[in-house]
Amino acid sequence: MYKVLMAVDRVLTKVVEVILALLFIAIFIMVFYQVVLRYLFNTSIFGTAEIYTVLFAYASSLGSAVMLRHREHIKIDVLLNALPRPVGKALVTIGYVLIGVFSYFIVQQAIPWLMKIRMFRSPVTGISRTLESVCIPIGFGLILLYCVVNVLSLFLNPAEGDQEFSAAESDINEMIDESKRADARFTGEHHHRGTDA
Amino acid sequence: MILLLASLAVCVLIGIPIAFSLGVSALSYFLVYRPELLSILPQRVFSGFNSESLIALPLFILMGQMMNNSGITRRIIEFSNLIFGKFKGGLGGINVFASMIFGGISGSSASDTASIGAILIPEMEKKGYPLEYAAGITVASSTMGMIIPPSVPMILYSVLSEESVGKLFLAGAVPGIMIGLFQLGINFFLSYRRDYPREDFKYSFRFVVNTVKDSLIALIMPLFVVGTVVLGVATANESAAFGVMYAMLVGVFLFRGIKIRELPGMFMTAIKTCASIMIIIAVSQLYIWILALERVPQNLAAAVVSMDLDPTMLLTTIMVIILMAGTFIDVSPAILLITPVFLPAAVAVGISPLQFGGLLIAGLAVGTNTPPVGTCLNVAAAISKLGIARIFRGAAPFLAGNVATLILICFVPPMTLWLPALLIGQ
Repeated sequence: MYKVLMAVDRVLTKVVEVILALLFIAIFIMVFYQVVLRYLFNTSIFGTAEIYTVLFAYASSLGSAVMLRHREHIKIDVLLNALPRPVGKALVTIGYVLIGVFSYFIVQQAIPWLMKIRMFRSPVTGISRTLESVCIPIGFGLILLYCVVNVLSLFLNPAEGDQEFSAAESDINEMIDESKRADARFTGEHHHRGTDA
Repeated sequence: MILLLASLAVCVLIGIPIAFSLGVSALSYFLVYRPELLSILPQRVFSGFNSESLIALPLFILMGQMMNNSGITRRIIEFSNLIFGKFKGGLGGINVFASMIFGGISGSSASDTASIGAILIPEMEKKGYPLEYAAGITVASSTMGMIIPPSVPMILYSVLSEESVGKLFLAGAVPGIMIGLFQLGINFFLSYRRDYPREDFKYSFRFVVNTVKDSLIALIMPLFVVGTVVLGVATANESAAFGVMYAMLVGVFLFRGIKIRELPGMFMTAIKTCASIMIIIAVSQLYIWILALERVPQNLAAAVVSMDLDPTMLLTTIMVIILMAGTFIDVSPAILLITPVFLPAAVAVGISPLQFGGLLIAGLAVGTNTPPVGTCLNVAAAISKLGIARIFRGAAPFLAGNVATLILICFVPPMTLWLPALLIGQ
């Protein structure tokens, strides 16, 4: 059962990440296109701002869920890391249960709200308010799912469960490695240009 | 209110991410005191996500990431070397000056520590500087990253305070530069006393020309981005989008540090980083709503006015609160929690939101350097393999420059108000 869940999680997370990248590329293209139109051609397309704001809400909502799956949200883990591991695991589990309860309430309360606003539309593009706001139950539904996946991984997959206590460290190492790689690439290029001291 | 604050403190302490700690504590408030208002939950959270003015946030994050990956850091360091290398303690000066420039490019202190520290901490150790000093000056100087414009936290504050981004960028410029000058002074004072080495280099004319040219290419970007926002030529979103395009062209075609196939991954990383801030913004809307419902900001403002507090006194008190908050909470949640509570009180006694914003961001920058949750300390610890307490000891003399600047912001309003008034007007 866990293996099936993990397989679904892998595919789902990958798909969501691809969607995230596409959403942000689309947002960037739209904002930049507006700049070009406004400053070079003195014109603009009505409603673009409405569309990229909706896309941004979707990206933020889905991105928050994926960040929870990767355990990359901003948190203070000093106490968590100072406690014996079994106690730490118990606290992490309690944390996910509470996040799950919060997300459940958001999803539960979102449904009647979405029904109520389905008649309303945005002023310029006419996008349905329900379509704009449905990113909330989608994002928090995903968060709920990822709470379950992360709790199961904590106990059934020790290697992944350990990341609960070292995610910040690995983020930092990734940032430093990226800087070193960029510098190594520059140093190589610099050498190639023959401009060394 | 007690339930709200106590549940928040417990959630944060047991390691629940800040965004969800805010959510869980807000939920507990609604369940206990106002169950009839539960339907407000998704609406308030959506209002936090649904913000056109915050689109600049992921774009600025992406711009900094692209410039960083393009190999700009080494160019900036070499440029700084041309200016400060011949002084005693030259590498320390290079470290501070490079951070001042890098602050205008990355807008993030942690990324500044990683980029400059990965190169300069080992280099300084090799040249005989104490490791504690090398790591300390790196983290302390990286505080300028979030103060010197364009600054990601300033964008966040601008949304909460409803103040112009352009004015806020300018409000951060003088304090940011002032911190740099203080830290340069402290570095050279200590270096001459401790006899730290000068840099021994001989550059060809061609090398100098190339270094200056490459650095100028990098420097034009923040000047243009900030300039267009300040002059009202473009919105923050538009100038950030332009900045991304510029960084992409420079990184891919000119510096050749970025490969085209790496671009989608960079977009994904930037939007994910932004999402972790956006969820805090979204969920904190619940918190802000509860504070307003309980009339906390209004009551605090009324209390401050009734006490007849001098604006400088109030700002100094707020500064202490900011420094304490920054020690325990990360920058974005701290902005979201402090601004709605204290800004109305500050405005009520005649303090400008620009002065408050400058103090808030410069104060929280110090928090990135203080244990136990100093982000920059953790980055420098990973590079230097020193404990965060030792790095903090190394950073302490330089942070005195930050504290001096904070005091100046409190006592000398033109520190934050003069430049916006000069370039934009009242």
